[in-house]
Amino acid sequence: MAKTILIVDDSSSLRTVVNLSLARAGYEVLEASDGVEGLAVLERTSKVNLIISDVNMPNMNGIEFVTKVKQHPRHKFAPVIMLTTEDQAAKKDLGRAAGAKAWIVKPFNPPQLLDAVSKLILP
Amino acid sequence: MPVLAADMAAQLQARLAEAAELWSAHLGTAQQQMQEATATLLAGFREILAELDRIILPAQGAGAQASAADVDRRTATLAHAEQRLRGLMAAFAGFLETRDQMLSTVRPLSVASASLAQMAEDVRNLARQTNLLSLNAAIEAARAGASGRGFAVVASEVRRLSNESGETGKRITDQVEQFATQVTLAVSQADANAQRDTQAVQASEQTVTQVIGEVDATLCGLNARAEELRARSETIRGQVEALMVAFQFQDRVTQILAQVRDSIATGSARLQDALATGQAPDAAAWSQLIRAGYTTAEQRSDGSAAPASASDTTFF
Repeated sequence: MAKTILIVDDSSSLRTVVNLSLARAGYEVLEASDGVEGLAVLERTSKVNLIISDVNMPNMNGIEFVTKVKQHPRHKFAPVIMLTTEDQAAKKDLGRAAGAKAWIVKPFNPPQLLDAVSKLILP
Repeated sequence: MPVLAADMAAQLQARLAEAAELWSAHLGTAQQQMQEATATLLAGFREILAELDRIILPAQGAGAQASAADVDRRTATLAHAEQRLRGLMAAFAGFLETRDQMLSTVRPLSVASASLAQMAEDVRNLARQTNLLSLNAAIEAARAGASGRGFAVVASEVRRLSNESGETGKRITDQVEQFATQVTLAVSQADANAQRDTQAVQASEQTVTQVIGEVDATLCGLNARAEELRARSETIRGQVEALMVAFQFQDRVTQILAQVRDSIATGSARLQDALATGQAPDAAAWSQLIRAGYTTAEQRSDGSAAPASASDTTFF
């Protein structure tokens, strides 16, 4: 059975590109356009094997979203990769403190993303 | 330094507010148009990829062995066709063999007819000798006078029979010669036909081999072209994917434009406040205000940094 990955990003074009890379590698992909929608998707999904989240998003940013995921009874163990234009150490520290497992600065290249996914994804 | 008159300050505030609103609106329009255009382009590229997959994936089938399986299937089909055609040729060859066997049975008939002619000649010789004997017997019967009269009758009958035998022998000889001529003619015609048939069968076998070879070459060519098409499709797919990945620039541009819009709004508000109070903003505070919300390295370098490229993943 294909492993499920949730992408949370307010840019539809970036979601498309990430979705394409992951789907080609055989993953099932869910999409959300911000943290609020991301939490709603998690609520109606029994299991996600990994989450990829942007940082700067309207309604609920990525740091807050990850913090809430880590408190979620069903999804708190889902590993999170932050995929963002933010490249400053202070922001990365916030991500680590919130519970993210990896930080990739956009633009990403698909092999780099797939490598991080394969290292972190839950069985 | 002259202080601005209150009405001048108010006018400047109004102009500034108008300009800030206009710039923000245009930036918003540019952002939206770029997002929509990028989404349309990406959707188009996605369709192209799906089309390319429809070309490439069925050919790959169960995996990398597909092209070898194609070759095997082609070879098997050709072998089957060749086998059937060769079977047909073998049926012709069998037919020729049956005909040769029949001819080999007929051919000795011409030899037998020669024997028959000789036997007929022997009959005619016997008749001639019998005729001579009957003549001598008639002469001897005449010498014997009255006592040989009966014998003379017998001699005359024998002579008549010998003449009839001679005639019969001649008729047999004629019939046998006629028969022999027809048999020889039939056999030579059959031999000529046999030679033609054999040549026809050999020519057919050559044609079969040639046709099979040509079909094989054509199929090889088709397979090679299909393989080339698949390879080119694969290359195009890779290029399209690379193009799609390159569209990530849109995300960065959107963030930069969003910061500019926010900066225009906050900067304009701060300047209006300055005009109202007659107090210019502090240089350091102003610099911090208009740079607030930077996310990219290009922004932090005030545009002098090269566009970002993919960097290493940081694992926590």
